[in-house]
Amino acid sequence: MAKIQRLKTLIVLIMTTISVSGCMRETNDRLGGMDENTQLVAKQTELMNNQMELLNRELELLAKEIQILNSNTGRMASQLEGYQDFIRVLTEEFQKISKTAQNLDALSQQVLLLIGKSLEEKVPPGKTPDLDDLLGAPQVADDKTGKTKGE
Amino acid sequence: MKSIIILIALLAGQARAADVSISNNRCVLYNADTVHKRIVDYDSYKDLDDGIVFDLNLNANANGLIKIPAIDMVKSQSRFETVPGRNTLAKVLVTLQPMNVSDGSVYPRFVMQCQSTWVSDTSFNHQCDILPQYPTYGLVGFSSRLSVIEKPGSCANGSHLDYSLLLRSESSHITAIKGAVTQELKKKFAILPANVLRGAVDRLFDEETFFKSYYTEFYNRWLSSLR
Repeated sequence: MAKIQRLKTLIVLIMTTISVSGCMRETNDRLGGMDENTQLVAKQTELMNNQMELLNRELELLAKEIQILNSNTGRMASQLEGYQDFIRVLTEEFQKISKTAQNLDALSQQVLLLIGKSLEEKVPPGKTPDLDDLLGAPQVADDKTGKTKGE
Repeated sequence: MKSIIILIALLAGQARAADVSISNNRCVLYNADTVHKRIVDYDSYKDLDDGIVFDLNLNANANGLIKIPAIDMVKSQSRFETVPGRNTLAKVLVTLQPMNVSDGSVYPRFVMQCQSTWVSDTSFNHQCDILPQYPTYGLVGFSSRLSVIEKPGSCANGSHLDYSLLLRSESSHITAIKGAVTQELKKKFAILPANVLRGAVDRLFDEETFFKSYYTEFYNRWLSSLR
């Protein structure tokens, strides 16, 4: 009876051992999976780090460009100021030119008037061919060839 | 490419001739015979335009008004090929002095053949056309038409006149005339540069306007001479 009891105990022990062994294997398997996840997370972290590094570089470059842009904007602002002065001078010059053109136009009107008035004077006509010169001497007596005006 | 276009435009501009056309319809108090006697009295044409001036208002006030005798007919000579009577045929020389120029070589002149044909006792047609076989200057085309018909009913015992004139100037000759005017102005205004004078002449002398106003006024003077 004691042997049977001992055998039962042994069987229970063996079963327990088998069961524990299974759990251990399962635990090991799970631990292995966790390792893979941990590795993935590590890789992702590394990639993120790389990207952050790239982003930082980009930001540095951007900062430099903004700095250049700032200096350009400053230069452009000063150039614009210069242009404004130039345009002011140009406007003044145009006003002077416009006034000169008006004076010139008035002067040209006077010159034109003077020239026009001089054309009003009657000038005796110059020599031009007569009809007889063009047609030849008349052959009939009914020629009515006239004279030049003023003759 | 641009220069070719400019060249073509210049050539086209040089070849351009000014066309002038005038037309008029009206009644006059005279019979067809009286009108006919006046229209074939070509030798007196040159006296009709005395005092015709071209009003040029330069600056829209009285001081700027110039009265240029733009064109003066200095010769109108005729040779009849038929005895002047009812139907007539004649060659007529017309010579015009432009802008008081003394150089006769640049005067517009042309010989035309003028013909009048009586359609009935109270109606005739008269036409003049330039004869290109004779030397012409200034004008390359001149064509006038006059139809006269007595209309006792509608024209108060007078006649109805239907008149039209078409003339075409020769642009190269017009340029030469302007050059002659400039030369003569140069004698009076030696101080002014030639291009300024030429610019003034170009501004003053517009052949199309001058010919049109001259021949319109000439026709009015001829109408006034009917009696």
